[in-house]
Amino acid sequence: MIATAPPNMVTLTIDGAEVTVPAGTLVVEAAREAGIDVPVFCYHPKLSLAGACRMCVCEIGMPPPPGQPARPPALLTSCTTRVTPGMVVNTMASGALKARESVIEFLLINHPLDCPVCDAGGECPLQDNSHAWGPKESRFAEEKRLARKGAPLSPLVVLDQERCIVCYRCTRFMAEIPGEAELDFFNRGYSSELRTINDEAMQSRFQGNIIDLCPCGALTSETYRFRARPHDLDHADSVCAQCPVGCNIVLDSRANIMARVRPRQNESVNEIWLCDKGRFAHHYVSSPERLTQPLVMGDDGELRAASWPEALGTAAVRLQQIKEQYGPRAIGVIGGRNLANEDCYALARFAREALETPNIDHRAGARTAAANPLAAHGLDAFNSTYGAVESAGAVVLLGTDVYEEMPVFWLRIRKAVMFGAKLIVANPRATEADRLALHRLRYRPGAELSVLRGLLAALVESPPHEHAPPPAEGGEGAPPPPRDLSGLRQALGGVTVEDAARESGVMAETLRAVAATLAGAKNPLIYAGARLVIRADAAGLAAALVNLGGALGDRRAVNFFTEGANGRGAELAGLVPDEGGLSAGEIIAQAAEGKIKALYLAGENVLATHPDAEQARRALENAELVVMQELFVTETARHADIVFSATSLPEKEGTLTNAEGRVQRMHSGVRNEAEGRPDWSIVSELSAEMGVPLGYAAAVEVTRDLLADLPAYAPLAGCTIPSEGVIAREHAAEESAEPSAVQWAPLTPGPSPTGARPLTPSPSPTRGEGNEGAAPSAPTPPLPAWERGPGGGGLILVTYSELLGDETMVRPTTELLMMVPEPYVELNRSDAARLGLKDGQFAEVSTHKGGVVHRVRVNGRCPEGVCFVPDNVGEPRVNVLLDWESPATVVQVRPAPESVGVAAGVPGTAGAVAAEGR
Amino acid sequence: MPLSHELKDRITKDYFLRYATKRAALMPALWMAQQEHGWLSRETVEEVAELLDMHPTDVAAVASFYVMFNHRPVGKKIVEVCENPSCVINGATETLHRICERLGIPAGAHHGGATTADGEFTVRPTECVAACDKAPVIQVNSRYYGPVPPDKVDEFLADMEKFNVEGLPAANDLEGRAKHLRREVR
Ligand code: SF4
Ligand code: SF4
Ligand code: FES
Ligand code: FES
Repeated sequence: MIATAPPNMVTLTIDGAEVTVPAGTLVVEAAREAGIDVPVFCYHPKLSLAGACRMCVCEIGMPPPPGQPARPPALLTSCTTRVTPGMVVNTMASGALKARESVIEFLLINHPLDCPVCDAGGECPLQDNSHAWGPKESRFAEEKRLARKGAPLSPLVVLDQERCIVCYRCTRFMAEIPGEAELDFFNRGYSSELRTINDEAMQSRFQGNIIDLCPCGALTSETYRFRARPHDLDHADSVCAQCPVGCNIVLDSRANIMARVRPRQNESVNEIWLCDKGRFAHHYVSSPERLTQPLVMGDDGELRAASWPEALGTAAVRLQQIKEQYGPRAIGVIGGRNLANEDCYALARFAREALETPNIDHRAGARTAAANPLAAHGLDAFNSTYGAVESAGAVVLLGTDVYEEMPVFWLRIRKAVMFGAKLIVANPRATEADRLALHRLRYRPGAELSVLRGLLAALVESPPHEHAPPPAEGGEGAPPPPRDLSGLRQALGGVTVEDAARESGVMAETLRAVAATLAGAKNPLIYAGARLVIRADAAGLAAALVNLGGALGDRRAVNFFTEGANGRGAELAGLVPDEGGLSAGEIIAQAAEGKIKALYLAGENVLATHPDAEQARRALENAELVVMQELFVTETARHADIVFSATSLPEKEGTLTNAEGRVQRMHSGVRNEAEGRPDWSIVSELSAEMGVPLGYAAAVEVTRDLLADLPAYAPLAGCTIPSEGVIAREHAAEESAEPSAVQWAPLTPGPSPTGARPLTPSPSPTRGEGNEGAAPSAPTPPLPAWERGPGGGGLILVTYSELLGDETMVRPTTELLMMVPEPYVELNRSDAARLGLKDGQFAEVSTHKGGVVHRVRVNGRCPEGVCFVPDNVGEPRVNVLLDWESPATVVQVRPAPESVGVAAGVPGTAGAVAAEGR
Repeated sequence: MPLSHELKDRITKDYFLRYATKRAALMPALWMAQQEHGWLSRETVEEVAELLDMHPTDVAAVASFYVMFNHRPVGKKIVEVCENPSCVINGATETLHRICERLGIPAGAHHGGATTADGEFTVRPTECVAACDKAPVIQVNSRYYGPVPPDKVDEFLADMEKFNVEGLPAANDLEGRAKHLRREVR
């Protein structure tokens, strides 16, 4: 029968039954396959093999080599032994049972057995295995070892060293999955202790996962400790509401209060991981600060509580008034990227059918109308699956700090790199991903297009070869022909690698080296940051990206990230400007000018998210009417005339669509006990009040409607959403697996449809004029600091959101808030020296719009002439510096006068400022 | 004080070529760093980590496994008293106790040892040093001395003044150690 096993399959006997599994399978997995659970502690299918605990021992026998006598079976750890043909495994052999019993007895010698006060009690593998396999009594009468209890490893994770069974799951996770080996065992044997260097707090954004992995109560969550027992909890399957990755979660609540968030396995999305924001930031749901009922602005200019009928009635009357007096185009609707699909769809219908305005957008700060700049090329904004990255030969990250932007997806990219994918990171500032990158491209802020043109020019210089089976050994078979890139050469219109190098600040050799790496890679994938989608030159970037994909063999290699928990869902649900409509950024700009009279803001705190706080403030002040749907009275809500109290995502039933376009179901984890209503219901009632009933009484009705109505979801018609979610694009039967025919996109970005100013103030003369699809002029951003060199004074400001900011959804989780960095401005060493600033001092960062005072971080992450400030920490936010009219921001940085007082606690700071301040 | 260029060169140009991973050069790197600095400070650990592309926690954890890595500054002479059976049977416990008493080190300052205020001596217990024939045996800067039964402690300490520490320079004689290292490199 062994001979009949298909190639690469191995047949063995486990507990008397024959099992056939792929070669290389571990015995413990083969047993699972056969429905036999061998107990384990240290073994974990996602981690490397440790063989540390010996719990999984089985009696394993091998057939003797021909002509030799049979040898007795041995006790082997089934988690490190791989199957071989004819192997005979006895998982319940008396020797194995005895060994397991001893292992448990030994593990419990020093274990405190404080199950009654242990969080893990009731869901503890050590408890379960002791019960199932352990001895009835301990023979250990001596004193147990004492060690650290309740010792914080960080504000989030607490260690009980006495309970630790030294299985190395936590340390292996940190070293292998996020690659941040900041936790390890110190000393040895009896004295082994889990520590960080100098007992410093762990920094990783993935540390919560070690709580799940710990097979006992040694690692517990600071936010969940002593708050519930597993049997007290109610569970609901949902989707994380904190970023576009769309990790699958279980919401555990006790007495209708959120107790914790656990990952739910979905191999296509998050596998079994969560980032710490997704895991810990849930306290906002039950926060006492939540808006409990609608608010209406009284005659005295103060917001006061109102009943739903009053708020809805007032909003309907006033929206109607504006519509009649100024026309529907005087209304702008912004929001949706943090709402469920149902909310987005109902809001889009309300905006189009009741308000009849074309000014609809979910992308705060957007400058262009095209929500998906790849649509012009017949592509979705994201054209692969997360899983596809694992078979990519090369991965390009352009203009994204993926660790901060798409944390759990970063883990998968990292996995791909560990499997051999070549990583190319192009970003104006060094990111976590740079640590693994083969090529790092540090370009001038805003010069993405030049980088892409440089890569294209380099590919035209030496085109990649068509994919073909490698020539047989011995030089037989001609090498595949080089790909025909003459069309691309035309489209580029004579731009050379050197031109692009000059424009982008990336060396020509680097561009050529990257092109060569990409040309030699199978299935390269390109990911572009979400902030690139909303830029004025998004259309040009999209064209260049599509061409890059095409030159490498498949235009569908291009993928744009998105912002918000449901940015993709909002885009697909139609929260995008109609023909002739305004983008979110333009709506605010026009409201500031008094041209937009009414703002309808659904969960969008524009004062914090519009890239010009002063303009956003004017917009709120000048608009005659501001209506909001909100969870909290945000700074924006204080300017509103009517605020509807909405429900949060963990309270909602419905669906979310993640960055890759996967539609996933979420169920309500807690009920809203105040007068909060789901956003879809608010807009349907408001719409009805305005005489246009949408006719929805339950979320499922909206789900049904949106799946049937929206073209993006057409392939899903009539299918139920499976638990792992579904991507319409993948579901479409007619989707051809073949790369679409190469069409070179003209590289001239069309005139900006929205009239927003392009990045280049004055285009330089076009090369190859008269050519169809001639290359555009170099869109070199204004770069005073680079051009003038050190001493020029200004620095280019780069700003984006880091994963953890002091946002409304994070602030109520005080433990997580402690992980949020203090607001900072990051400077290059030479700029800092020139400006007379040292690490840890305070600096004032200012433009003509305003200033912020932040702690200085001096390191090598920003190149000279560039500084970075995260835009989601600090009061005020860095957007007070930004000017909507000029997309590139040059800031002045100088030692802050108040730093002498404020920084007095920082060693060596105060005197330095006094001496070096200018 | 940063690691010397010689040391870094030796790691990157010699040891990196011997192993498949940079991490594999950790033990020689730590040992040489200790030879240069006498002990492994936080700064040294970080430098080694950077050189080997490792997390400082990872480096510190490996170092903590071995008692022969010093985790705090040590004296010029490291006096190690064997605490294993042959030596203990012959009075090592009392020997150690007396040495500590004479040098003004709080008795029982075990594991990790203790250093005299003048930085002359570090005293610590050790496992069997494979010189049971000289039990109770003492090691001074890795050289055997013994037997030293309790009543010979004063004699031993007097001898220490002129104890010839051949081979290894004193643990905190950094210059001497650097020279020694250079000699080894050749
Ligand atoms: S803390 Fe938990 S996961 Fe880590 S080694 Fe100890 S028992 Fe294992
Ligand atoms: S990666 Fe995003 S979706 Fe996943 S847990 Fe973190 S915040 Fe939530
Ligand atoms: S589970 Fe096999 S040795 Fe730990
Ligand atoms: S027991 Fe002391 S040297 Fe062996």
